[in-house]
Amino acid sequence: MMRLRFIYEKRGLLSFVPHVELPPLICRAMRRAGYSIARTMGFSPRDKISLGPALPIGVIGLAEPAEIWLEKQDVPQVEQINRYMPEGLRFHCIKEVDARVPSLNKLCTAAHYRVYFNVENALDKLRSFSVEEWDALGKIEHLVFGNDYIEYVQLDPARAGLTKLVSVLKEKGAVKGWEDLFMVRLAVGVLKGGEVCPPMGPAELDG
Amino acid sequence: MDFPERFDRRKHILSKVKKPCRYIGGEWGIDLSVDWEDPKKVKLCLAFPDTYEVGMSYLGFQILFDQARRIPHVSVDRCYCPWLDMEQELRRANLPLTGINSEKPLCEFDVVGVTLQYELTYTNILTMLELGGIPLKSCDRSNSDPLVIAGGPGALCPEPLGDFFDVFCLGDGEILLPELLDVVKETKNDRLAAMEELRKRQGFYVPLLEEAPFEEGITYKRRVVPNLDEAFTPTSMLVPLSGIVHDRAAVEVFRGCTRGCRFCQAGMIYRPLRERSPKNVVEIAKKILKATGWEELGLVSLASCDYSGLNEVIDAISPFLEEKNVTLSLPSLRMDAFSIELAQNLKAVSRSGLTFAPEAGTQRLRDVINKGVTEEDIKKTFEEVARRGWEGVKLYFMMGLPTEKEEDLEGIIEVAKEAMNRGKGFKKRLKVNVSVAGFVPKPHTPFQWEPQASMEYLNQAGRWLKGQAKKGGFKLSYHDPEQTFLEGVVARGDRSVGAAIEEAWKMGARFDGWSECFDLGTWMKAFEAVGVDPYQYANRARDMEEVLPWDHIDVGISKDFLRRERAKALAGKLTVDCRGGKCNACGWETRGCPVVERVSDRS
Repeated sequence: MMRLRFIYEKRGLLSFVPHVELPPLICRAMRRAGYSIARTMGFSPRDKISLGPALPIGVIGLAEPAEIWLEKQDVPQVEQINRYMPEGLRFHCIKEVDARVPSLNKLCTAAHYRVYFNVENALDKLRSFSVEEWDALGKIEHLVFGNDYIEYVQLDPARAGLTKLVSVLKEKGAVKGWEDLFMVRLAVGVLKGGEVCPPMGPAELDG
Repeated sequence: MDFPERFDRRKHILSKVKKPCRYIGGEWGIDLSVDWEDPKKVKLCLAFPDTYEVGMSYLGFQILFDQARRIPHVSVDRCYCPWLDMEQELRRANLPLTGINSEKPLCEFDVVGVTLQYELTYTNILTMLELGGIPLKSCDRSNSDPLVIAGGPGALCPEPLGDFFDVFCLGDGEILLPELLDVVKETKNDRLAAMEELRKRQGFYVPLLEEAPFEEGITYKRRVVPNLDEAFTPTSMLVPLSGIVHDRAAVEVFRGCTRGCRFCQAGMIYRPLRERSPKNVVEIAKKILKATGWEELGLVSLASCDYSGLNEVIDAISPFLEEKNVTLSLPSLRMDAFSIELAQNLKAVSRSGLTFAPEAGTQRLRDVINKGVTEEDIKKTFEEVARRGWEGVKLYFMMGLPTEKEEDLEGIIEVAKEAMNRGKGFKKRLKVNVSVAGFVPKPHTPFQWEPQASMEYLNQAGRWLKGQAKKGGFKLSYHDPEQTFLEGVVARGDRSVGAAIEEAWKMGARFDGWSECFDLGTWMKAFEAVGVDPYQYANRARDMEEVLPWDHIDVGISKDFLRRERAKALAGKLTVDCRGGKCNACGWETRGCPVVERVSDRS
């Protein structure tokens, strides 16, 4: 059995497919591409795959990490897999990982978000946020205000995330709901020198 | 950085509804690119009057979608009923209901084809027509409107929907749909000409052009595919982007059923029995699995354990399934040692539980409904299940069956306890899960004349069963008797029931098959408003000589056969499966029944 880690993007309308629905989607594409996926043990064996921190419905992800276990074979070719992926899902790279390396959710300690606002004055509301109000959103760093967006790094993305941001903004009357926002997760992984990097460095792959 | 999806106009509305992935399409497995602007093409939309998850699980549309797509003069799309929240958003934004890939409003198609699988989806049809910009009634449509057609079992008892559909297709879609699309191409933009032409052909019923009440003897005959190996069969399927009800590759191993269960409409209306050859099944299964990547394969039919080529198929395909890590599933098992051994031998099958349908609790009642399962079969089956280490069983029963008495309900509890006790000697007890449906007498069955059990009776019986199950330590659930009642009214309805459907829909009835949406109160108001007494449809015993609202539809079995079967039912006499060699003269014996032909070849 071979443990592989890959980075993929989730774009377009496919962002409306829930995170939990992605494993079968990816595994079916891998199977179409001709790869044999290892199965979990137990009464109801499943394809062995595990994703990184969940991305909420409607949010696009540019560099999302995931892991899949294949029956022993050559490391798959990204181009070969992508031929069988539904529109919106694309693999960027795939590498073998040492079996002793900790799980993705342990490795992914930071996420880089960009949030666009489709409504006026939402940004003004945010600018007027007090320190306490920002703190309520979780550990946010490197906050940048753009023309019609904010960009920031969030630590501990598995626990604090966009859902909290949307509910706070709704509470403040800044937005009506998810429909007023367009959200992108630019990257999720490890924080290196102020930048969020996918967990594909030697340290993350070999332990 | 550039994000074109930021400006996708669908994003806004998708952000406001539950389960937005229902509406995004984008399936894998079949080429979805279509030139919608080609004016020479007949534009077809297959419309399923329930949610995406249910509609995508329907094999019939998987077949017809791929078949229509391959006809050079046809472009095809699909559409599913929007859930309440999406309907509200569409209305609020004044947006039409569209095909899922083309984003074309339904009214811009040439043909809208609806499948009638379940009576409690009928209000959804009206939602789809209205949101799609199509007049609800056949008589109100003009040449700029699509031809609105229906198929499926509901088309064989079409009167409740007679005002809403232009054409009912009676029989197998693989032969009827291409023919209809040809006629539409020839008569393009002249709906009356199309309807006149179709009316002349067998398998099509055009209510607008017929006079009701029908003259005695005028019938519309169903048309069937004589041989499944020669019928169109897709070698790929649409693979959804998100979970659906039956999320697996499926190959139909046979169509029709000759078991002769007297309550079962499918067993009567899909005759004759037509088996696909094992070689063909294996070949198609492999192709579909390769093309779709599905991790599960279903061999589907009305009773797949009865498929004569089952062992041959399993032997031939097992190495392939093991290599690809694909599991094999059989929807429900026959209650005998053969089936359990079979399930056991399917290495790739999930170990959690097996599903059986004893249907009734006592031998007497099982004989009445001709469910050929004995006390002995049941005991042995449970013993095998426990011995071979399965975790549990799911059991399907009915309540309110003709001639049912208290002891028959007690029998349901006994059978469930039997299952629990069989597990005792082994590692652990079997988990038992019982599901009880209220019986609905259906058209074209030997019980079509019977009164349906009242809501009060079903409520009482259901509560009693549930209480007993609690004492016995197993799970039991029963269908809502109010929904069962409505299903019964619509199932044996006529045109005036159709008026009630429209009225109930106007009063807000939607997704009536979903308990969270269903409201009998709305329906009772609707029945009153149009002057229809629903109890007369559900709970009345019909006179054997009465002209029934579906008598003009000839499904192939004879009314004489149904009368004989009814008499045998009431006498508790069994009718054997004709696959054994003894023809029961159901009506198909003179119409090219493959079983009769096979038996006479043998002798």
